[in-house]
Amino acid sequence: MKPKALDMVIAAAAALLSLLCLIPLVGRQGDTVSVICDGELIYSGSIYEDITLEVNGATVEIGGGHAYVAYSDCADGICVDMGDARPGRPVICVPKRLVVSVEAGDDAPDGVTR
Amino acid sequence: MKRGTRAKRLAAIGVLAAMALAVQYAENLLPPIVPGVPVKLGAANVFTLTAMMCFSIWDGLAVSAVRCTVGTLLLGGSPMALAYSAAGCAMSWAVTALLMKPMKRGMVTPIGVSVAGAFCFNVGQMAIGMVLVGKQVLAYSPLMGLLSIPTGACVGLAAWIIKRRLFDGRKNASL
Repeated sequence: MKPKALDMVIAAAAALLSLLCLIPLVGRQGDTVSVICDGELIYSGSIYEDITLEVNGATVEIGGGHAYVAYSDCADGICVDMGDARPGRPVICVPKRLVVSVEAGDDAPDGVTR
Repeated sequence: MKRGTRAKRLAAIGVLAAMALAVQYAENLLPPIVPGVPVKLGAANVFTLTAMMCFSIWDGLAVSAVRCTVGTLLLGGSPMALAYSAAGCAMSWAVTALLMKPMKRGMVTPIGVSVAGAFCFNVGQMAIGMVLVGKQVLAYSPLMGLLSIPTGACVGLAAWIIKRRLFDGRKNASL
């Protein structure tokens, strides 16, 4: 089986499209943590402010520059394994529709709801 | 094996679907390669691709549909898990079906077809993820997109080997 031109095109296109998605993510900075569940903003605050949130069966720990899911009763536990949320790399729990993201202060909404 | 009679075809497709389910279940038992990165090899797609190459795209759709629905039930999934699975399988099947004719004409190899299918599987899942969770899921699209290239290549190679060894007859046993 010899590789054909279209194979190279497909592989290159896949690689290129993937790398293109990196552009909005690179070089992001921020210290505002947003916790979103089911599309609704549950909490928004500084990453240095210590707080523990219980969201839909998951425990989100924020403080001292870290924001992570400490515990979740979801089936796969990938969100716990993801570790710290970083700018451009949010921690996501798919079964719970939970997102813990770190962004710059300007993007964060003005209101804080708990 | 001759593709001939309808009964033979039905039996073969049934076996392929069953193997897809078995492999999907086994794969789910494995821990992720990198903790925190929800990427799997997608080995069940080998059988969907084999069905499409050796029989027809509609037989491939049958295998894919069985794997998607029964597979999700087997793994104890929710309607949400079914949505993700269906979105991925649908996108992947559509692109693979489109590439079948070029593949038969020799314009693209099964590896290229499989990489395209794997990539589009992720596209489908990202789309559903954006609807169900939010646009933050796009943060993982670079990693999942890049990983779909080697996994798709492996799946395509495996499907090709199965096709040559099992379905093309003894005289064509070489790759």
